Amino acid sequence: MKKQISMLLLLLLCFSTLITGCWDHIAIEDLALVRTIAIDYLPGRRAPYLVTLAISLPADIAGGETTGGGGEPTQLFSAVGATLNLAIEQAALNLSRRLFLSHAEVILIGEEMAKHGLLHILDFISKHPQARFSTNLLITKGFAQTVMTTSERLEVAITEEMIGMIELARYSPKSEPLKAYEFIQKMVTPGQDAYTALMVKSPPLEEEIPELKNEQKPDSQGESSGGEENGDSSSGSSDSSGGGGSKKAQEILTLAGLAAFQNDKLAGFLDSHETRGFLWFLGRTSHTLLAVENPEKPGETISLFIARVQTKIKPHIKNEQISFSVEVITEGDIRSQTGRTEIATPEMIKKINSAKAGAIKQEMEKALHKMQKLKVDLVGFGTILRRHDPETFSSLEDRWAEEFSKLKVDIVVTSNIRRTGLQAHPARPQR
Amino acid sequence: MTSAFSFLKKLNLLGKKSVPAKNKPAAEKKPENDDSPILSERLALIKKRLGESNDVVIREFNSSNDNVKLALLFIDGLVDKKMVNDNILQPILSNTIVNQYTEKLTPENALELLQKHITSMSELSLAPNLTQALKRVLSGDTAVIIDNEQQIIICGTRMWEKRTVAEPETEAAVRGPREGFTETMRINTSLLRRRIKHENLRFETMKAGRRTATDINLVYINDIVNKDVLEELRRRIAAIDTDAILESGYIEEFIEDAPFSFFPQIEHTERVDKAAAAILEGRILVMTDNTPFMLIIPTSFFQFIQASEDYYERPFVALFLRVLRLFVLNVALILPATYVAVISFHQEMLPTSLLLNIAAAREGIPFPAVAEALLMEGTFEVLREAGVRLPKTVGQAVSIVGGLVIGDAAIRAGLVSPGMVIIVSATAISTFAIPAFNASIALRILRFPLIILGSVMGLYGVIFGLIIILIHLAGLQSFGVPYLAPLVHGTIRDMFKSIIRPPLWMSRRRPDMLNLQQQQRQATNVGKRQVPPDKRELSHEKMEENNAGKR
Repeated sequence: MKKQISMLLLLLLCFSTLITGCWDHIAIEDLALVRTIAIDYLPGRRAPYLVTLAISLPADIAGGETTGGGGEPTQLFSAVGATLNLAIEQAALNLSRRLFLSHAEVILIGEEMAKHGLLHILDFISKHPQARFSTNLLITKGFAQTVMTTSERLEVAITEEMIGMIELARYSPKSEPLKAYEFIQKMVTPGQDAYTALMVKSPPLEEEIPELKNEQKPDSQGESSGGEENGDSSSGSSDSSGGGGSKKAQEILTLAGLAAFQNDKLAGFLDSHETRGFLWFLGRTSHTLLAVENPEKPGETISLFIARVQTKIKPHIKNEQISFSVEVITEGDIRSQTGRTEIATPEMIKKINSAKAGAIKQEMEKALHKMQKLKVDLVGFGTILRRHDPETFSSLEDRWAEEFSKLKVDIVVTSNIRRTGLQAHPARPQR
Repeated sequence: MTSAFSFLKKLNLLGKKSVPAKNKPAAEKKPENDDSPILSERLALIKKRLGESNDVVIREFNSSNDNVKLALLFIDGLVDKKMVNDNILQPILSNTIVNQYTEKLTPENALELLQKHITSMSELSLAPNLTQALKRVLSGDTAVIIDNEQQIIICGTRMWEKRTVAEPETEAAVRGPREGFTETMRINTSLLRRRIKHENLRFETMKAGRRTATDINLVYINDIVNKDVLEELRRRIAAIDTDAILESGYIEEFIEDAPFSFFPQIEHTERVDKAAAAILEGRILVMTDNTPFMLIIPTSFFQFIQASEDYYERPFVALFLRVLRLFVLNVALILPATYVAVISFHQEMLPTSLLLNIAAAREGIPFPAVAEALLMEGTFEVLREAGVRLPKTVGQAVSIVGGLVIGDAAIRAGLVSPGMVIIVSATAISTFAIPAFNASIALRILRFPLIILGSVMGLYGVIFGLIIILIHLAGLQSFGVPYLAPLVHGTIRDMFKSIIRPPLWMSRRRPDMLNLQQQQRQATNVGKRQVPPDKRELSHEKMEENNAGKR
């Protein structure tokens, strides 16, 4: 009897394997790997969502050798739809392979889309089986699609360049990219507004410096500039076939600045200086450089390396008046100086310390001012207050944005310069 | 553990049924026992029973005083002829050697005199009748038949061409004794006796195989071994009713618990040190004549990832190697299946760049991943099998052709992807890193169903297959000891020991799972090891001081 039951169970177990099947089997070479999704919003249309998918092609298709290097150019596919899913479905009609979104590591969101609100995108990310919460969200100025068409420089594909920049952003004080789940966490936390980094297309340096453009020798930059003879090819839209020569005319991608959100809607941008001022509040500016003016000799610049930063934010409630005190403690080294002033003396170090503290404070106040102007609490002062005094905060919660814009914040910066670089004294002639 | 042995009783019942005495073939009639003591009739009977085989030697002669008629019977090639001439024939025949007893030989006292005074043999016994005597003769002894005497004198004269003790080829070790068992049982027993010089070491003789009459020795230490297991083993071997036992594998198949399992339930070895260690651990060694492979009973699965060298190297080395072997065990079993499952179902699990690489490599491959995997695994198995069978000189050619064709040409021809070649070769190397060949071959076979499961159901299928295998393993037993012991039914101490080889001075007890008569192996040596209590006694400074004093 027992044996019969166990045989029956075994049979059932075997049949259960027949219930599943190969229906979701897909060969790896039949996948279209989406690496980046760019989403733009076209207001006033019936199908307002413009989706551009960057699909990586395995090396073979791209015509390269089978080097196994994963080298792949990217192909772009665009489509519009009434929702994100519909737009993606529409884009899939142009493909001979099955779309695969699990490897989309970057979602680029156009300015118009961000202004319209990110709720639909976040909903898409949380519901789609192939989408990932760890996708990086980036905002672009203008259309996201145009960013995608920038050509890559160091990596094989533009997505790789963006991912590389995102990974390096933690060593840079110019931006703070967030992943989708971090964005959602910040968005849903009371007394905290969400933000993420800005991916901008900036014109090449030659545009800013006309002298450079005029005097540049053709062979000084592009070492393989085949037929490009005259260096002063007028603008960025010159011929794009000339290998290294065309590079200098191209626009480049920069990860700099922040897009600040109120709820899910774009409220404004912080430029890269304001971003650094903001990051001091988070204590996230270690391993970065800071330039201060030589307090003895104006016009000379000293660059400082910031090794450690510690930021403490404390709320104070006095007579229903809310204020915050922010204490920043930094440690660091001197990296270089212009000029020949002797700076390795205790008095000088003291002066540099106070100059540095002043510069940091100024940066922070500027950033705070911008945030208050935009009415976005990116630092999360509201959350800090809520932890400190939940009742006061809950009475303010509805009008926290207003309260924040008038908030009084005292900033105290302490600076400690520990070392003066490998050599105390600058190399200089005797007189 | 007692419950585990109740399982044996059940088997006992089954076993009894399978040993009916009556189903012996009618052709094998018992030869008549009452042979006549008359020499001529006896010799006629011998010729009738042994036939005209040319290796049977019958030498009739009379004693030197002509009082007694005798005959020698032996098999040429199995006996030491010099010994027969010098120690049996010469004392009886020769007149030159003055032997007072040879003169006194009469038919009446022949048996006694020959035994006690004349033949100078160290090994001598009596057979009550011709049938018994023939059995001994066929094993290489010499029978001295006396006219008009019922009993036959048997002289131990066994000596034949034997392979010398050589290094075991299947279980080579970097460190450790180089001696391996041979085909000759006497040499094998001596090898063991030389390692375990204890009065309680027992060689218990049994015979199996109706025609081969193969000698089987059960080797154990009497005051350690679990008597229940020993009794059960005796019963199972006694129950073997077959024509021939040509290798210990025959016995293994007859006595193992689950004959239809993929997994070997009895470990075998040709390393003497390994066998000795097993005996000292309380296990029983089944020694079969004519094969160097000894069976170790009972066996649990973890023995297959242990090697004797673990105990000769430092404990950390053993720990590292055992973890490594556990890892390769898993690799050998599931790597190709997992690869197939991941690239056909779970592409999101791979890092993007790896995925792109694999996709690029698979571009243009005509087969789906599963066909590719089965093809490559199959080819590898063919190559391995061919390499085993071929003579060494040709084997090299096969490996070159195999390596080039499978490794390179197949990729260039676009038949298989490089990724699959890497997977298959990693798997192949892993299987060879498992110390026990019979365990690794079980894994190799199970790999194929797992690949198919992985290709049909993805990782779900692989896990499904693994669970089925685990259920099977958990249900297996080897002579009352669970196969997965000490993970199943084990003590914490045993569990640790299955992976961690403790320092020898700490390992105080024999495996608890064997339920031995004496679990304690040695005194607790912790704290009173060889290091002197005051280390300064042997310190470098002290030695220098002493030397300075001498100078």
